[in-house]
Amino acid sequence: MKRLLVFLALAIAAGTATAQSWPSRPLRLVVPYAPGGPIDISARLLAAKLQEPLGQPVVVENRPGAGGNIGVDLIAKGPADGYNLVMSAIATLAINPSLYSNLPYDPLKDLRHVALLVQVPNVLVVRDDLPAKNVQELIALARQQPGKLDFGSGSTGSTGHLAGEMFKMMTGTYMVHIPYKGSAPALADMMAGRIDLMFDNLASSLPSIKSGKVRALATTTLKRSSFLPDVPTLNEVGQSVAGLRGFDMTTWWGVSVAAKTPQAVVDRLSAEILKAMDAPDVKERLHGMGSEAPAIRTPEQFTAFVAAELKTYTELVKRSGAKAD
Amino acid sequence: MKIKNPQDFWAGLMFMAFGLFFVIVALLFYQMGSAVRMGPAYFPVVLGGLLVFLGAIVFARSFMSQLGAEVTAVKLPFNIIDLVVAVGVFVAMTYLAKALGISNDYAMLASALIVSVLSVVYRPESKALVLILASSLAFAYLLKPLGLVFASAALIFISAYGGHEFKWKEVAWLTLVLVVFSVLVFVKGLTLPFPICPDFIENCPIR
Amino acid sequence: MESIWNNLGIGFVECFKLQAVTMAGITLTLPFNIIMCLIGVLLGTLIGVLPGIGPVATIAMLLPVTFTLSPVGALIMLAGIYYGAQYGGSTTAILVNIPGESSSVVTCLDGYQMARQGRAGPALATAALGSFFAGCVSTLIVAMFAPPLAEVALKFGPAEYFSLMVLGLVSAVVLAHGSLIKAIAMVILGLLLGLVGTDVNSGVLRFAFGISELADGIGFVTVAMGMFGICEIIGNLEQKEHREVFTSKVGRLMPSKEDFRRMIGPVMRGTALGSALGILPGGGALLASFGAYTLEKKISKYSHEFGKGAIEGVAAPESANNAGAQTSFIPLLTLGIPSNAVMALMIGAMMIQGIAPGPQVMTERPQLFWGMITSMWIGNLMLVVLNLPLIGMWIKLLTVPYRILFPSILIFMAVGVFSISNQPFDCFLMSLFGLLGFICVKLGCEPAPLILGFILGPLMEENLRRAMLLSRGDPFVFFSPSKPISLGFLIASAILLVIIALPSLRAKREEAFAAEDT
Repeated sequence: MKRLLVFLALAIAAGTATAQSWPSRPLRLVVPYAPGGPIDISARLLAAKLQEPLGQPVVVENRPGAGGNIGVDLIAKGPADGYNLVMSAIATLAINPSLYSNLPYDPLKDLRHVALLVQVPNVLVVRDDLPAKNVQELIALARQQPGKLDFGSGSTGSTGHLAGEMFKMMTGTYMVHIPYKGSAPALADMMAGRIDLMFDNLASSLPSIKSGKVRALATTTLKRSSFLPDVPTLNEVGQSVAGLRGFDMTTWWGVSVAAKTPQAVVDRLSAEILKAMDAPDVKERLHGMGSEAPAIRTPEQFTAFVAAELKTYTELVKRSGAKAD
Repeated sequence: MKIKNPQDFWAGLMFMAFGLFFVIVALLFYQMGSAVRMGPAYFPVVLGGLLVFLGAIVFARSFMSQLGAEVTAVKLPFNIIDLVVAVGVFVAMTYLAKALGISNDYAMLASALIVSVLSVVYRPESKALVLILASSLAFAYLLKPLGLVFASAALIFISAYGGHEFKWKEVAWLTLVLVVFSVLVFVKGLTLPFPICPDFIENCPIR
Repeated sequence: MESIWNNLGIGFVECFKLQAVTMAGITLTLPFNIIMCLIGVLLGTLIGVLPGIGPVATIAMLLPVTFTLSPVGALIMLAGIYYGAQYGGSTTAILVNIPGESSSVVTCLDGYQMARQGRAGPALATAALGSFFAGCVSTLIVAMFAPPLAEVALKFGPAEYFSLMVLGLVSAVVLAHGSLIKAIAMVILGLLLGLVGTDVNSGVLRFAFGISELADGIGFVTVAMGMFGICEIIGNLEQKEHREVFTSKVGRLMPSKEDFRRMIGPVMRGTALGSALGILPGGGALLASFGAYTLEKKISKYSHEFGKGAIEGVAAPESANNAGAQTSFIPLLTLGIPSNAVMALMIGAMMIQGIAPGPQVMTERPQLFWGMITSMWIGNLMLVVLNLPLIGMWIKLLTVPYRILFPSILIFMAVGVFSISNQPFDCFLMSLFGLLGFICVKLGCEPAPLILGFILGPLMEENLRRAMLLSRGDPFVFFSPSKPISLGFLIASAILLVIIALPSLRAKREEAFAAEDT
């Protein structure tokens, strides 16, 4: 069976002219963060799975620094030969361009986006003893006592922070932002009742929601998450509360290469990554990280998605006033 | 006024210099904020100020010590001018690399080489210090272009030269053993993404 | 009480359960979980001994391998790597004065001095036995009191953490045995160096001067390798006369009766302190070994020996850090909150195995929960059985001529530091800190207080500013009677400060102290 797969992969490879000799040496997959985060874990998962169909080892290399910008820049400015890949994410492609005044790369001009790997919803969680039982009541509470409620986030300029700012903007409320170093300590402070709410990545707050230490009021995607089928989306709430309609924010990451990488190589890579993602074991692991299988399946769709997200967050960062350097 | 405790004299100066540096940079570039809403400059300015104060006490104390300059002599193998020269070499090379449009890595390698040669020729007593520091720079900046094998060899030879006795044969054997160990444990075992062979060799026999 | 034995029973059964595993076409029936535990502690010891390569990177690299294992086996192995690395780390600290982890900084102080006096054997044995005792006790604490203790952890907010850090910094001063004022200055210099990088509260990049590699701050490993490892090598090579660094006579392997008598108290107190601080997710475990050392130095009747090879100075911090390592599992297992980077990875490992960490794990998957806890005890037993015979080998290593030893140490340090972010800049920084450390030592300033300041500085600022933000700028949050914990720490700091300052108010005595050391 395995041999058959290798054979098939080779057969596909032989079909395209440029891809014929590619890959003839090991590939490098740069993770622009320190080892251990969800992006790093999924990179290692993918690297292990790609080795067989590509017939070459995929070496994961961590190049942390400057919110991921160093690692992404390395690939953006590196050789466009298809041997140098990077784990790109919402932070490095959509948020950092406006958060950092001197980003060394252009997320659309310097990179080609190959495949979207993971898309995790954000979830609005509140402390268990907060009087508000749903989003409407939360908005009412926030309007009643402006500046009294505290919302936490994993860091300044994180998706959690920006989702909070977007929520404030759309509902016309005022709450104080309390930044933490990662969402875990923020979650702990919320369990202890020191902060009132936060927008968190579903994967990190799911255990606490399940154990009833915090309550989920809404998710931030257009569709309900299969992990929390009873929790409404902010878009749904938006049917009765003006302003929240169309609220759609996910945390996502994928694979990108340098802009001038040949089309054939990008296509082959995209096909292999999608195949790896569809493998039941990988699918199950990614699901465990809170990801629903993304609907975006081609490099073109992914690029269009990146462009749209870049536009949204540029606007949002500007209005939130967040800055990183 | 006579300096009675040179150690305290220089330590005081060092603390004051560090403190002033942090205070000035923080005040120039970052917002101070208030005690209620502290800005990014608040903490560094307070701490830097405290360091200047403590440095000043240590400095002042150096004129009143009763320990005697013998006990508290500063036994550094270089003087402050040597330090300035070394820093100057690094700065000059960095600018040269920028002007030539080549990677700063070469500037670091060149500076390490220049300072090492200067040290061996003019300040033999600082040989150990300089060569140990230079050897780790050589390793770091040679690892990507030349691979683990040659970078390790560079580190071992340079640092061993900084030791008391240098025996070619022994160092060569040591290099062989350590290179084999590093390749097996770090690259094979712990899967660190280090190149083994130099960049220009297309098909490395081991990878 | 009965249910505890019942639960531990479940754990033992799970650990020694026979499982049929097919590898390379051969099906073997083996107690697989216990084999995983053994592999974990072996690997942990290895990476602990290698300076610079920490458990976080190793566990991250191994995660894909664990996908093929059962959840229990995978978690047992990962946990084994974590506490195995604590044992291994103390070996490097004692033998060559390199702290690979923040917890082994203070082990260097007395452990390395013991090694230089030919007492490396007793030092290593003390570390292993102390850690084993601490591991047993704290594992029992985890098994018996995990849920109520987790509630205590939640009592710690920004104000409490800030006050705890203040107490930690005051005790940092005790680490030094020379001039008091220079030690305080070194702590502050460390605090300032710790501020380099992105500010958590505002997102502003501080003191980076356009060097993008500094954006995430300076790594602890980089500073520790520079100021301890590199500095030590240069110092040894600099000696004009040609002599070996370690006394040639190996000495005894095991501690003497007298040593045992002296280590009992410190081990007990270290275990208690470490278990308590390990529960706190916001950096409490960092203080465990420092705190234990300070405590011993203040109350021991051998306090004049500290810094010159006192066995208490090895026993207390080693027991404290191993106890802390075990109890830091409490917030993870009961609240689903990781207390450090390794615990965050454990959460990641659990989630991709399809387990949501949290209190429900204990009731829904008792085999996993109790299996893991029991494995920690078994793992500790394995480590002590493994480490005691290894001592003979380690000591042999010290008889290798130093001209062979130091290039080897140097290459391991360079590889470790380079691997942190796979760029040469960290090695450059390591050299820079080596130089700074060398100059500091020559000026009569000790590096240990600087390192503690460096570790605690960012945490202290972060919590101070967060507390102020949450209280809307009310400085009384730290000492209001409604925050008894914070108030208590601040009072304790004040008392400690007075105790430290009193003798040195008589300036002459301090001078005499300094003279004694130079």
